[in-house]
Amino acid sequence: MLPDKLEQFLLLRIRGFQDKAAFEKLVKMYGSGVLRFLHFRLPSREDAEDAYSTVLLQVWDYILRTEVKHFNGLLFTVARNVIASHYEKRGRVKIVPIENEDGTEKQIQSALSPQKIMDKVDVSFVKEKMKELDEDDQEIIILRYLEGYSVKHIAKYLGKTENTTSVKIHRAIKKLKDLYERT
Amino acid sequence: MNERDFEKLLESMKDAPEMGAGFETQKLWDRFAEENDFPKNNETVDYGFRDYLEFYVFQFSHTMIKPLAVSMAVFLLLLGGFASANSSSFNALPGEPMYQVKLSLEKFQLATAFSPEQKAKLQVEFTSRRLEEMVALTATAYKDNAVAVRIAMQQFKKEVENIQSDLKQEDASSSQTELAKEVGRKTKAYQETVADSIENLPDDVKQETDVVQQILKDTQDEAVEVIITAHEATDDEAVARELEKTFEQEVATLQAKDLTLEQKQKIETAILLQKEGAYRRAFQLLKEIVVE
Repeated sequence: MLPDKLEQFLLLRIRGFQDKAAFEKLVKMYGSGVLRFLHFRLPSREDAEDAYSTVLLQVWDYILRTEVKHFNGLLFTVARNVIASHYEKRGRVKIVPIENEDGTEKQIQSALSPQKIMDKVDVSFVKEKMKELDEDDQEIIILRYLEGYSVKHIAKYLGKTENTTSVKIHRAIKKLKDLYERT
Repeated sequence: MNERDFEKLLESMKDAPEMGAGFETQKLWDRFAEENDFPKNNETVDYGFRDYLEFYVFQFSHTMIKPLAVSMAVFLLLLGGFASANSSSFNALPGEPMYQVKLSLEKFQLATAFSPEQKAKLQVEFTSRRLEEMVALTATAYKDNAVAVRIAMQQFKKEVENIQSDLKQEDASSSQTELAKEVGRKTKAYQETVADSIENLPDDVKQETDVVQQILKDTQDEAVEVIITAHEATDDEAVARELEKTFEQEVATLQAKDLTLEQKQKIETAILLQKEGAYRRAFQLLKEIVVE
């Protein structure tokens, strides 16, 4: 069965028969993208994991009540809700740099090779720049470059033409690249 | 680094925990399953012939019933005229059974519009409907249905983005000018409606309104740009009138605010430029006035 058809089949199973196994299948197909999104938007991995649980429950409730065309799109929409509630409840967490008491930077020893350290620094740096993007741009970059979805797939669930979606992806990646190169 | 190289760099990072990889999804599912009474431990379910048959029957009946419903709606439309059909049959909200029919009929109306003017009017009218749907949903028991309100807000945002994207098309056409004129007339009302509905929105949707307001503002700027370009290219009186109206509206909105002396002088200069027909420069001056 084609992925699109399978998604529709499983959504129908949930709506018509409250099929929890069908829900699990869908979560396994699409859950990783929204986990990444939560990871970028929330202060810690633990927060992302907690939020993930809340997202799944809200998505389940929503599908039971309303016809849904794209499971992945709904996951991201609900995730935005949950993220907003998270910050409302807890207030924004300030990230404090690692410093010694005298204000100088702490030396961290590592067993990694210099090249590996550079790679790590690069990844952390891109992650920080990703956090500076807005939700729409983050979502589109996660789907296209980290989850590897086709432009066609993304266009379908955004409800836009492939052309417009390509432009959106191009703009998002350009913003991230500019942020990356500016510093 | 060129764009392709940067894309490759990003793709090479997809398995890094910093980029959100490496979550133990099975464990997370098990935790969720335990808390909410769902199946655990990757229990695989094989669907049988009957399950798939039910699905295809459902799909088939839907593909048959939907066009039938649309045909009936079109028939009603022809029989009763646009106004009565719109008011009597199309008050469905997202999540209601008739909502898909409403959207299908809108698509049909757009596809069969006989002039650029009518198409532009319809496009803007449908965008207005998305906003009305959001307002209607907030007026009901939204606390039980915050996700539906958010989805309604996103649908409105999507419609405005589609309009913005149409306005940005490089090959200027008469339909683009008509769309710009319609948008110019409506954006202010949209902005006011969104601002007025903030109080009634669920807390977590409120933050989205800033993004929507910005998109509306950008769309308005894009519309003005299209109208100015059309005005510079043609002697069309209707376009000139539209531009004049938009300019006056913009001036009135600014003048209602608490302005500094310098800002007031800028408005005076903009009015003088407008009287001489230098619209592009006049609008540019108004744009430079930023009121907190």
